[in-house]
Amino acid sequence: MRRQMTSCVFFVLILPFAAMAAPTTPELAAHMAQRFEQAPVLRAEFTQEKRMAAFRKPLQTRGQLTVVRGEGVIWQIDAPLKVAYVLAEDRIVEIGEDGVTQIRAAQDMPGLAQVGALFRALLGARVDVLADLFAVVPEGTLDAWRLTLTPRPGPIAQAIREIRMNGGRHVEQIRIDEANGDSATLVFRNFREDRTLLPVERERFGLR
Amino acid sequence: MRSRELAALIWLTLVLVATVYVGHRFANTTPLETDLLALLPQTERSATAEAAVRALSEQLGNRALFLVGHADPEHARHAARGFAARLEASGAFKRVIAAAPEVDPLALGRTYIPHRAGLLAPGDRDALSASSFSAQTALLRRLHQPFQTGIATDPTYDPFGFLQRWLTQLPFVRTQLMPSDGMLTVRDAQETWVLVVAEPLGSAFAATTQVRVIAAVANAEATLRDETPSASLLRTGAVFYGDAARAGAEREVDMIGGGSLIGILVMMWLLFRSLQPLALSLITVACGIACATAAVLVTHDRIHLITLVFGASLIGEAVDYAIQFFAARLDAGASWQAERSLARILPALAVALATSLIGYGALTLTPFPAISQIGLFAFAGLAAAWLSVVLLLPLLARAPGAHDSRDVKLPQRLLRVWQDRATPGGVIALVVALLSAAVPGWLHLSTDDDVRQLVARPAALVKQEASIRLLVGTAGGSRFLLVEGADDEEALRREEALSARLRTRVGQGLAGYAAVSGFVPSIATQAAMRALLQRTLPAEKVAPLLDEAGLQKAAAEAWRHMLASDAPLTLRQWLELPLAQPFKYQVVPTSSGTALIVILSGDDGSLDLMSLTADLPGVSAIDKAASVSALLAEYRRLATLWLPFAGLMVLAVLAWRYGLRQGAAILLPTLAAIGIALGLYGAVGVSLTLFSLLALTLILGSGVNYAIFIVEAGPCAPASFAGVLVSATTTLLAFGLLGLSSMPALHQFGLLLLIGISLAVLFAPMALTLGRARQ
Repeated sequence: MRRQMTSCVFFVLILPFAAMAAPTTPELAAHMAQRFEQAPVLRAEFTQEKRMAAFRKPLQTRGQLTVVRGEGVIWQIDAPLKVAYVLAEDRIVEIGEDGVTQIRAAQDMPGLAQVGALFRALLGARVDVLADLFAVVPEGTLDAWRLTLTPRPGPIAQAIREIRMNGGRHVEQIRIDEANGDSATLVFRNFREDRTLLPVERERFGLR
Repeated sequence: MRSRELAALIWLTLVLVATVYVGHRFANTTPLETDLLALLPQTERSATAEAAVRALSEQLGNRALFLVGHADPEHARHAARGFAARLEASGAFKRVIAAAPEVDPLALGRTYIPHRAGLLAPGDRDALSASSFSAQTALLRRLHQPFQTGIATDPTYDPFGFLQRWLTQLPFVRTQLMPSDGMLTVRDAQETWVLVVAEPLGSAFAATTQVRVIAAVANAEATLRDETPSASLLRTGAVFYGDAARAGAEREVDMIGGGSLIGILVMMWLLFRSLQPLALSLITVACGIACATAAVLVTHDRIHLITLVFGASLIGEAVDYAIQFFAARLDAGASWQAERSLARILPALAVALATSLIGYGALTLTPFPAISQIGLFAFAGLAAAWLSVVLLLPLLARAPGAHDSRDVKLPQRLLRVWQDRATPGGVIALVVALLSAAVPGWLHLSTDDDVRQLVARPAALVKQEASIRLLVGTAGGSRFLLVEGADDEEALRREEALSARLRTRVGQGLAGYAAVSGFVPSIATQAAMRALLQRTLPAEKVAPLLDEAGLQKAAAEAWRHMLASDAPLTLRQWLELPLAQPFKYQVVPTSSGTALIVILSGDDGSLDLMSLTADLPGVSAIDKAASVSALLAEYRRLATLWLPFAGLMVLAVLAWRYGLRQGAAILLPTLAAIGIALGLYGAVGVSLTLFSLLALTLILGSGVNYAIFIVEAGPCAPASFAGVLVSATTTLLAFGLLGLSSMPALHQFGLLLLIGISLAVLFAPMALTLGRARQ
């Protein structure tokens, strides 16, 4: 990672024209990693809209997101129900409105670990991790990039046809087209960067 | 002497038939047994348990596993693909799989959707039974969840996500391997490893398969190293162990057989200085080996590697009878008359054979297939060599030898020195002193019954296997649980009871377990689940909820239909499914119903399975390695009891020929040798195993031979005494070489035989001092 960053700096200094071409995947990865090194905590609001054949109308979800470098993601839904998901490296914790928590360890469900890892990589814009699972085509510039992700052959390819995401300093929008024709669009706004976690967030990650 | 010639002719014909038979068997497919499991005895109480052990070993054993590693994941995948393609192209494999198994969600859905009313994940069972369960919250949570965990299902048929969670928790693979770009991979700190699985064409224990597979792998590995020098390769599989065992055994047969032959040739040339005794002696040994091999092949169909290696060391002992015969000719000089001389030495040869057979007979009585085969091989081999000496040599060596015994005065002089100095009292004092010195060693004797002494596992392969286990996270233990029932339903119900018990122990010396009822619950459980759904989520309550959430009308209809239809998934239906194929071996058909194998993963051995399952009907904990160790211990104890009994039998044979006093005098050197050898073992701290105890009975049976030959020859037959020394040297050379074997059991045999027989030979002249020479 550090080597990739050095090479990125090298490119920026020596070859100023490089900014005019689309960033490469390692450059973008380094760029996003650098952002998180400055402020390891990122909070935002999200809206999710799912369009599915089984439903008469789109399914809307609203809530708040916290991405923490090295720890994981808190996905808190506010409407139409209140529930929070804590995605850590080794487990997924589901916290209901009544405060009842349900912990699922990644080792009990190998599939779960992968889904959790993918979700964390998407929200944290971990382009290097995504490149393991998808063929990544970056476009635009480091400050206004677009990514098209096509799954490599495997279980993800069976569920997802394509993912498109765009952003600059942060991931601003993710659109997932599923293999069965359903789709989901996630929009993020009101970004707030921070260096430390709130007490309630620390508790959710199981940190003291 | 017509009858003599007739007997010789009949014997020669028999030997020829045996030789042709052996040649024919080896000319077709080599009847060599390299299956390590075949070396082990049946240890389990029931045939079902043995069948389960077999099924497991075949499932896991016949495949070869490779991990191709590289620091760069893309390089690792590319290298693995190339490696797999070259294995495939070699034609040595039935199947080479580099692609990750694709779980087709649609097929999975089609399979399970009709039966979904009875299939609830443990978490959902608990949630539905709880009073706090809210149908609306459950529905909204499922619909608004941020990600599809594992296998996505259609909300029309699975609005609450019950089926989704059921499918996700199926115990498909309990490994750390993750599909990535269509291949199964795992990462460690430095490298990404990609799995390649190959099924050899033919049995992993057949020599032809092994040779083909090893060549194909070496080839593919060389290309891998050429194209991607920084790639690493790990391998494991029975075919590699089998090949190493076979190659090792072939090397040892060459080493021991060749070494013994050279030793025999050199020693006999020194003694006889003539080609004829040399050639004729080797013919008698060849007759013995041919008959021994034929006897094993006729009774056992296949010959174990361990037998073959031991057999090679038998050359050194089988040649003894011929040496005594020619030594007698040397002593007789010009007055040699083959038949009359034979009549004189025949009793000695007969007693020597009888005592040896007592020793080897003990081996045939053990339940270890390999050891009893060694016993049979030695029994048949020695008897045939002996018969060849007695029946063939008098006809082939009628004329007196070209030399007489003038050339062999040196051994005689040594014997004289001993004879002049030794008195019976002095000898007794010496024995008492030596045995007293051995007493502290006896007190420190320890025992070892580890199953690993039966098999040689090359360290390099063991290390690679350990790395693969660590990376992949598969179970390494030899323990598993067997659940038996009168029919499928009973077996499944009993397995569910066991699963409930095991679930509480996950994380306590156990990482997980794979049970068939995890894929297909018992009919009773499925009925209970459907009843639970009918009670908690009746159609009239669910329909408005689905409508409110925005689902199409079809969803409510599907729910109503699901609750109404009684369509449990049966074990037999499940076994027909493609997804069940990798797990088929866990269902073992038995004569009295159904047996299910429950596999434990991450079993560190700390869990007491016996007491955990003691009160569960139909459940037994199976641990093949522990069972074999227990059997080794039991037979080690039996061998300890057998030893004095064998001693009495040898004494009885000796007393019959020589009288009690002389017999005891012949036996004493060997007993002293055994006592001192044991003292040495205790003092050095080498543990006694079943094999070292069996070696003791062989020392008893073969060690007395030298005292017998000395007493029979008397102090005035220089060549015969020299013959004893030559016999002892060839035997010791063979057993010494056996001590170098990589097979722990043979190594233990050889080492103790070397020590014991050396001492027995050294002490043999005592028999002359204590008894009276026979003239």
